[in-house]
Amino acid sequence: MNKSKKKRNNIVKQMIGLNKKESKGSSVDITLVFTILFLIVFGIIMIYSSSYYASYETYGNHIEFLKKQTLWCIIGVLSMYLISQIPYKFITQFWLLIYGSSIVCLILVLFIGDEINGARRWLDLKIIGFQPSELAKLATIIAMAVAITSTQKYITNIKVFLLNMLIVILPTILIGMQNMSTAFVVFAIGSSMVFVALPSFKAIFKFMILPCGVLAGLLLVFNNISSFFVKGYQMGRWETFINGPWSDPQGKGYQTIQSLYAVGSGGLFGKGLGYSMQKNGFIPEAHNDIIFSIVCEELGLFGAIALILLFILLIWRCMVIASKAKNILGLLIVSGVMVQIAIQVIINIAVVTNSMPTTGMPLPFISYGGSSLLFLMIEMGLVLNVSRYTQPVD
Amino acid sequence: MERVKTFHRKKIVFISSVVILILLALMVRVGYLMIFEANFLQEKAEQLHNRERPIKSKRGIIYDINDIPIAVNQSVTRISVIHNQITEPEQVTKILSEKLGLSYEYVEKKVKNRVTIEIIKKNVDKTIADEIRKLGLDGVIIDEDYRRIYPYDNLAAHVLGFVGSDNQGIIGLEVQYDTFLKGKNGMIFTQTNAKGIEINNVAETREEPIDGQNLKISLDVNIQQYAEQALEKVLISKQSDKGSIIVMNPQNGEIYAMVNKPDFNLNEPFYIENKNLTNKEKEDALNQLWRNYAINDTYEPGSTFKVVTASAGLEEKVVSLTDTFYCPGYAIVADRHIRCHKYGGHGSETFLEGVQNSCNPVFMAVAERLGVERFLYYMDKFGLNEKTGVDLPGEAISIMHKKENIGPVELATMAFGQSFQITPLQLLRAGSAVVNGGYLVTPHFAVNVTDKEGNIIETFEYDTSKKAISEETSNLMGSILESVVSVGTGRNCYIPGYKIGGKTATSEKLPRSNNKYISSFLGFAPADNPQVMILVIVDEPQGIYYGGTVAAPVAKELFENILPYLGIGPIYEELDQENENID
Repeated sequence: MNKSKKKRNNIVKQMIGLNKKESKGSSVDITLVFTILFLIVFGIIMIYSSSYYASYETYGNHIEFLKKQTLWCIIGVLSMYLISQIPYKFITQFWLLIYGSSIVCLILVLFIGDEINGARRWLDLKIIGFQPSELAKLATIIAMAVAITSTQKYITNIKVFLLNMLIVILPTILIGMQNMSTAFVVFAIGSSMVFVALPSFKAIFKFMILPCGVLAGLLLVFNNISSFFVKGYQMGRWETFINGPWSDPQGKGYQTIQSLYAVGSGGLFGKGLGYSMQKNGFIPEAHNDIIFSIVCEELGLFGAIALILLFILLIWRCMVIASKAKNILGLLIVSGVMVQIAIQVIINIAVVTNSMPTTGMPLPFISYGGSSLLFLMIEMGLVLNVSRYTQPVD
Repeated sequence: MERVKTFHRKKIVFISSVVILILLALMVRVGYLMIFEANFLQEKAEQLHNRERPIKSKRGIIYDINDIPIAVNQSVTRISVIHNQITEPEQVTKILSEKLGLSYEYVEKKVKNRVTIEIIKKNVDKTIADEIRKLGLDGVIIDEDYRRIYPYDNLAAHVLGFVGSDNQGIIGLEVQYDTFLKGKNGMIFTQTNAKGIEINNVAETREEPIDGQNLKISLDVNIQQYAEQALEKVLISKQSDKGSIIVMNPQNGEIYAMVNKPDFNLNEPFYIENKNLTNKEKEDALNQLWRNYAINDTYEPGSTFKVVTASAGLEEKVVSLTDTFYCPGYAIVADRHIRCHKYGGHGSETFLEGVQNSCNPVFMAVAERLGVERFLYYMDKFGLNEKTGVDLPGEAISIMHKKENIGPVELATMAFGQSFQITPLQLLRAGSAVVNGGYLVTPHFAVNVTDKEGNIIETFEYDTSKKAISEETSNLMGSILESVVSVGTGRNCYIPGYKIGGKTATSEKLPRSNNKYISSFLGFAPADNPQVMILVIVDEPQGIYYGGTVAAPVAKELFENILPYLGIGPIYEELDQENENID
């Protein structure tokens, strides 16, 4: 028993590369930096290609979306650098401010948000459209990391557990009123952080399974009620998924079918960058959530696999950084970010490939969107920040 | 601050392993879609992206015998709409309905139709199309097209025929030779975006249209115009509603002219004067208007048919020119009293005189001498039980007694062209055989088919192998019929200096009690070597209705024009001058 446990520990150490002793004050994780830079450059290229038609239709020129996204990339990279230079312990001191303002924004958006497709998700800040849910993800990561760190010793206490969970549940419910899949991402971020902090799997069973189940059930009911009263557009997505998109090719199945056409048209090596047919109005807003299908169509199976591998590389680096983190605050921040990126990538690709019901989920770093990219880059700044302070493994 | 413990690391490895596994599973899913479902999805996607746009081929030109174009093409446009591209549907509907003269509802329906491309109107004039183009309406497409036009309007309308909106032949030569004339439409294969606009950076594949081949026909515009004017004149003067003239070369069956009145303008074939007709009535009226009586309808030929009876009698030697007959003004056949057209009768006469007089009892006697068997044999020989094989659609079949039903009375009436029906063209063909040396020709129009550069692709051959009577009999018939014109019932067709042969006919229409007649004349020239044969038919002339009075002068007028035109000049012999003196 003890032997096998040790063996398992060794495997874990090998996976995260902790066998060698490392010096204190190591530099940022270069692999991660290049992965991120590669992803955002790739994203810009794909946005140029996929928005070529939509941009002309909306603005009369082919580069409008490219211009905006490039600007956001520059702001994002600068923010990432800035955040990576400020010690994360300093940043996390403002957790209450960050978390509080995100909750305020979430409440505000319910009342004064711009309504798009029957849901209020955007706050119009005149210069930019801003999605409070993106801020909420960052705020939840920071607030949860701080809360769990300060209560790590009493983490198995039921009251402490519930208090910690409350931090997640509040934004989850607020977001869930408008957008189920994003609420799920936030909830997954928070609960996975609790999961990491719980010392044993026994405690996990005790604390996680039951409340998670209840919460999931509540959310489902809540969502059904709200969708019944508020947004009919979510209705029938499950139905369409189960019956297949061809059951309603002009209606609910339309986007899925168009996305599948793009994916299927790519072949092994794709039609070549810029030669997607489906972006020409067949897929509405191909540069948004469905951009992965354009990657498939233009760059083929190899391009698609290369992109997924890049995300795996990113997740692996996050895992390594988390494991080597100097303290559990850093570990929790990185694991939160990692879970967010992983879940978004999974949901996005699953939707594009008709592996789950349709929902709007941007592909991190690639999909068009200013606030989404900015907060992601801030989070990556935090991860790089953590990577600068490592500890030797005991 | 708490340091990271192993259990933390285990958990994070656990989480990342799970998500990486899911990502690997999604890779498999993507691979499955892109390899195993690729064919299905690609095909579906291509159906969505690919567009075929036809390029109209130019229809072949029809030339007359002198290479005058009589059916040509005009560049026009085709207006269509692309539903997805229309930004202001109401304005598009309003403008198109006004400019194209269509009802608002009709255009609205087409504009609202959710198909990629909907044709609003074909054959739109370029000037109207330019006006529409200037307005720059989104979603309105103007394509080049061709429209068939006929420079001579009504000329030979029933012969040439016209084409439908897809440039396909509907009646006449246009449908008979459609395969040569129509060519093959080309096609542009392109890819379009969701709005149906072609995408520029995708190479379009093109299948060039193949233009139709040109057709040369034996019809002569000048002769046709002479014939049309002549027929029109006689119809007016005799207050007749309809009539036909066919002008043919009896030696080879080339038809120089074929006229039917009333006729219609080939450029407006659907125009009808009477506006108060129901659709059904209008359709019937148009079908009537488009009928080519010369080949689509049958009639009782009457006395012109006597040329066949006479030929058969002479060929079988049951009668000779000098045989004498007696005509009391009627003949008793079985128990029937069949009268001659001349009240009181012709008295005693030779066979030649009988023909000149068109005396019915003489021909009844000849038919009786031939008997049913041999009489019918010559009906067959002269091609009266078969179609002439003319290259026009819808040729009618003759209506004949069954052999077993022919008694003496039937035989007697058949001898002078009654109690059976043939088409005018069948009569002309039989008449040709009587005087051209005895062989059956195939009446026809098409001479050859040429390509754009004028190279002959196909020359049409026609059967002239069937022999009806011997050359001697034919020559004899030629001189007999010449005498019909010079001294007999056909005198009104006599032209000094020309050897004209012919035979008149006045057939009483059924029912006989109505006293309605068809006057006709079958004439040919020169009688000793016929180059032109004319059949004139005037339906229900008012007043004097004898063929010799109504139809023969028409043929005379035509011969006077046509013979010099064809380079056949008058030759004055003593006999002619004598005849003139006598007259």
